[in-house]
Amino acid sequence: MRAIGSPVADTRFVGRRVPPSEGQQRTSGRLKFAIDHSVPGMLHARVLRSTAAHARITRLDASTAERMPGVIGILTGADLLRGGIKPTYGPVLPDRPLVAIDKVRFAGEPVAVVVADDVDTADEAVRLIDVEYELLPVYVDPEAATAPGAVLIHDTVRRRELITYPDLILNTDAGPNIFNHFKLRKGDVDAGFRQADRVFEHTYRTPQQQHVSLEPHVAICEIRDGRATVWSSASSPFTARFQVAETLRLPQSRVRVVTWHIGGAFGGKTYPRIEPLIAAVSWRVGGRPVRLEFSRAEEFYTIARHSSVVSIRTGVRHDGTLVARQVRILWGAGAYADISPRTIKNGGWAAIGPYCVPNAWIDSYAVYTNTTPAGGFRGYGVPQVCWAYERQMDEIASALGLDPLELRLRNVVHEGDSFSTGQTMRDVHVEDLLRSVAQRIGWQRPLPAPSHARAVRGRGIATTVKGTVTPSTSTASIKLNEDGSVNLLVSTTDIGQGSRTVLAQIAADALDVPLESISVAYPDTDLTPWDQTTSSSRSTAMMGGAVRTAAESVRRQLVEIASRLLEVGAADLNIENGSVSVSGAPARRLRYAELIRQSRSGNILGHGTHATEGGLDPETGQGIASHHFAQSACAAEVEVDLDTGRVHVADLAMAAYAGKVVHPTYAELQVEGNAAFGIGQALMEEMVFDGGQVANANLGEYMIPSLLDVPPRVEVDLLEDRSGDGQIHGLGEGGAPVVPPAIANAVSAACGAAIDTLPITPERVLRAVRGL
Amino acid sequence: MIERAVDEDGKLTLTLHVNGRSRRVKARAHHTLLQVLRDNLQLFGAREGCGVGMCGSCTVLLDEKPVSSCLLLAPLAEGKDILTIEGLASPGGELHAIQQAYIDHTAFQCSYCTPGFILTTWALLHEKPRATPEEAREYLSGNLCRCGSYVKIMEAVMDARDRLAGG
Repeated sequence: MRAIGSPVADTRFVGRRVPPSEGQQRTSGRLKFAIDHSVPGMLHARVLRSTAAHARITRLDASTAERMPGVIGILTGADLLRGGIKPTYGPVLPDRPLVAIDKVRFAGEPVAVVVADDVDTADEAVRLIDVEYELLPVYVDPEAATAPGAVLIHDTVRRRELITYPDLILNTDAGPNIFNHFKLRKGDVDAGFRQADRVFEHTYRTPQQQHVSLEPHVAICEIRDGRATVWSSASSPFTARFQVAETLRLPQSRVRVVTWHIGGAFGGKTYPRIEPLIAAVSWRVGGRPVRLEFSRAEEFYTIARHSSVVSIRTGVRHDGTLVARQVRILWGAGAYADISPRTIKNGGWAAIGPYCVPNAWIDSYAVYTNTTPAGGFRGYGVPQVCWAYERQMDEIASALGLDPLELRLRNVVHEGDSFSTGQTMRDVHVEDLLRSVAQRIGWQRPLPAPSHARAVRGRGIATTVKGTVTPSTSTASIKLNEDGSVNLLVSTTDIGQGSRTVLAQIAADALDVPLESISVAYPDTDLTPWDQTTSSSRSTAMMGGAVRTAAESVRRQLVEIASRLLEVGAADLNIENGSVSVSGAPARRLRYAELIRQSRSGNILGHGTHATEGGLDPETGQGIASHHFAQSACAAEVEVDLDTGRVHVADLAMAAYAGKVVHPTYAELQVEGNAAFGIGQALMEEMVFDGGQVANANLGEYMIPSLLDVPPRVEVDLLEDRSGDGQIHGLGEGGAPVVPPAIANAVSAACGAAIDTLPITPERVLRAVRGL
Repeated sequence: MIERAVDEDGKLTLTLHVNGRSRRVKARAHHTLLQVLRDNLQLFGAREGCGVGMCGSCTVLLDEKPVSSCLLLAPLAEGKDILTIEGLASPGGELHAIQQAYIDHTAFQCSYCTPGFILTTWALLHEKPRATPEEAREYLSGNLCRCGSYVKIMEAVMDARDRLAGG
């Protein structure tokens, strides 16, 4: 780690490698996940999924299955039309039926759900349901779905009754099946292109990819006495509560969502997919508790990353200065909108990259396709556009005869520059990060000899900035108990980012108590206060801010009480080491427990809200895109086997701007994890569709990185601001987008293969090398 | 092939030796060892990740060899010594050196895959007490960590090797 600014007063826990929370449970198999939970009298559900990718349902006969011993009930589209629950759901547009009503729009869409005494019976009954389909044209690719004359996958696009996203532009005349348009207009793009000496035009593509959280989606729902309880793998319990309340037409106070540890999320568990379904299923069987767990194959039918087609046109001066950029992005959103409107917005304004481009024009379109619905995925739209602009930067550098690092350094944003959204950039360190990875990969050094005669080596570099959802809100509560111990009540879920450790560190410092005295609650929407989401690299920055504010409230109350008990003005009181003492008379002190007992306050409750401001104009995309920016860079050295086309990542250097590091080990883990994740996206991962069917919905054919796919050493540089006003910058996602273009740029440098489509498979490399 | 009686529920009575104890369970012939460990014995440390033996999250030791319990039919585990992550600590609850090394290096993020990694590490160091980093990477490549904690996992494995060699 490197620091800028001079260090401020030491903290006891923040910034230190304290032991991880629940270390013993994590290594003993006793860490609790939703998948381990059961409730008495629980029934089991299994889903019948569509075999057609786009079709009208002409017949559905569940009568044989219904008569099977052990079957309790079957939820079908007909039940949704009986009233009682809201038939459709979705975080932005309520366009998705809980189970198919008259039409299916992707292969794997739930058509019916069987509830039975045990899983074996439910499995058997699912096979006895008879469905007939009348097939419709299937569009996997967003270009085909938007071609003139394409059949509409949804006849209409409707807003939800409770408008949660008022700035959406829903319908456009840009083509069929486009349901949302994000626009960015900056400067005069035509004039910009007229100033250019050279104009470069490229199209880059990425496939649908899957999160592959090792813990699948799992949930249990019970509805009793007008209250619903959902025990779930949701990474954001309040988005689940919102949706279940809407589905069951209950006030949010009567829906309780409970979570424990989450076995990986990566954006796939931020918005509810299994929770409204299991709520409807429980409703169908009179509210009895029902459990549903998706298989690995079903995960591939539940949520995915958007496929993309990015057409990028950039005007450049001879000296490499970027003067204009126009980008048109088609996002393959799958069959339902899910959170697409937010993803394509984030990926939309990010398409200019961390560069000063005075004239910009972006059209970002969300397109319905007949595939698994797409949603948030580590990087949230940025990986797709970063793939495009960072690949094109190398094409530009090569055409102008410039070093790729030099071209980037001539254009990157610095303090005070205007970003694509017109926002004035603050606290930006992109140049420093680029120089850091270049130096550590040995950018200027001669390449080592390849391992054999038919192999070549090359180096590549890439950088990005990624925003965090803005505006956004987190809240936290602190309960200081009569013995001086602390309950920290937060709804951030521990998805692997270490939130239970880092939030305890922040709370312990803010209250000046030992780390062991902090007990972090598991999220429970009846007990822990509201949080927007555990996503967008916001846990430490946003919830950390809320925890600090809650601690300030506790401290204020402690001082007030002490002032009364000790008969000393508040200004003469200090908080230190779990007590309040009188300045200049350190012997006159009361421990927190003593203060609570003597004042008979029972306990002290503090609450804190941390909210950020910002937002973009829907017509121009100008405004505050992000409260702060995750900044990262990657340099890769690869060896390409010219006979097999295999790419071997020999060395990887990563750098990220961390602002302030709360836990160095967890911070490194985020960046190292991003590196591994990015290698998978670069070289391995693609959902392959055959006639609308996912052809590789298993981990035998959809491969994710193992120890052998990641270089033994991943060099991580975390740049920190220790000047005191340094704020926490999220690290959860920034590293993933830069890895694929850095690797592709290295491949291109090694063998001249201009890869424009992910993943960089041996076949793609050989085709590019041989000009096929 | 031995024919076995099933009850009216279609279940066999099996005797499994798990973590040093003999356990009688009722399971159908097609139930996997993973299902029996979780559903009958409430041992949740072995976890399904892929269901096809690719990810290693359900790893248990069968006569000291790592196996994917999602692929092993429970009746075939009779007569074998089954060790799950719950049985790795000493009877007094003291963590094994490998578990402690994983904690000391924070060699996990979400920790879903951790029990599988630890048991595979145990098998590696049992077979090759002087395993090189290259051997360890190869041996552990059947365990997947989607969070990508591989750098710290390798640190923990090599540290555990040295601790076990030293002790």
